[in-house]
Amino acid sequence: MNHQPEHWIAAYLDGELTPHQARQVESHLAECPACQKVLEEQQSLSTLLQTIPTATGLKPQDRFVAEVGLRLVRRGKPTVQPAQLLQWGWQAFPLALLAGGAFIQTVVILSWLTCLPAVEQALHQLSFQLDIPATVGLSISWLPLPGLLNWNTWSSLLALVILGILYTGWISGWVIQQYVQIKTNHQIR
Amino acid sequence: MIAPSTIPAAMIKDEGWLVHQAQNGDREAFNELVRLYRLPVINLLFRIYGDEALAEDAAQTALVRAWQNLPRFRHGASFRNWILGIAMHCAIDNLRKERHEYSIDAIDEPSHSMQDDNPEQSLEQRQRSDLVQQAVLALPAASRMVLVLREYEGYSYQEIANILDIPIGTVMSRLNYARKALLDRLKPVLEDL
Repeated sequence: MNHQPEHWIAAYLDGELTPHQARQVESHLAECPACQKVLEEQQSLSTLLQTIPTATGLKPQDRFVAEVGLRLVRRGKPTVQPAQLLQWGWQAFPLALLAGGAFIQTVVILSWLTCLPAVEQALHQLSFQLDIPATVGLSISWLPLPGLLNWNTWSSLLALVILGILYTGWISGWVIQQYVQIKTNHQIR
Repeated sequence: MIAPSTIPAAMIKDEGWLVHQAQNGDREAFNELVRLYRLPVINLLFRIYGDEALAEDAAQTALVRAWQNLPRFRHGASFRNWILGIAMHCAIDNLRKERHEYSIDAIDEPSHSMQDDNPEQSLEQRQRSDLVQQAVLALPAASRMVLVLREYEGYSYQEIANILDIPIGTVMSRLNYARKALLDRLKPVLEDL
């Protein structure tokens, strides 16, 4: 293994490495005095950090508990917070787009299938066997929105393009949100 | 590394019941949980703020927030991690809102409980721990939080990432930054050890 950077040694001391990685670090440490020094420094630092005392000049426990008790408000049924609702909406948006895309594809395939002469003939035959009047039949009118099946290639393509634009918008929004989050975390660092 | 703040085993045994009762609105059960977690929460925040009064006040705010959010606590999850996570988020909110960067000169004089059998040695230890505390408080807040969770609470990188809601890579980089800064600042103290 090459020379160990400090974070490998820190991860080793923190017990964050796999057994294989830990063995690699150990074998490297055995032959690298510089890394042994880093290891010793980090161990000493860890020991030194434990010398900071804990809080001792605190108010009595009962007083603390009573003060917390005074600040408690009656709790109603848990309500959905606006932020939580926004989060759900944010996650549901791509799923809704996906469902929309699947719906459009299904409609296009159905309209294509029902236009096939063989399928049309089979549907008519079935309606005849089931004794359904030809005017009602198993024609396209079983759908609540028959107009949907009149989609042609261009209208379905347009719908897919619109979904694509919405999806790209969502991706851009997500990237901006992540950027703002990282920037905020960096500011408090 | 020290063990995480100790809580009596008998109390932990009943903790699930206390949480359940508190979720159903039992304030007495919640008071028991407050008694149980008062010191772990205060000590965690004391490491962040370096000020006992601020730590106590923030701990009360965190516990009130825990009461409000208790119905959303999932059974089977670690209550300790949950409540300490709320305390950390309270600290983050305070730092965001007020940009608290506590002056290292304004740190409370630490009250040392050690016996002064050897006054000279005791004074030396006190001075050393003051220097260490000042070095920790001089760290940027985000790095300090990660360091406190790792060194004093013994959390794994993944647990810290979950508590602070940051990627595990960020945990590692902040922790390395904090340790490097401390090593630089405490070099004279480390050489004397």
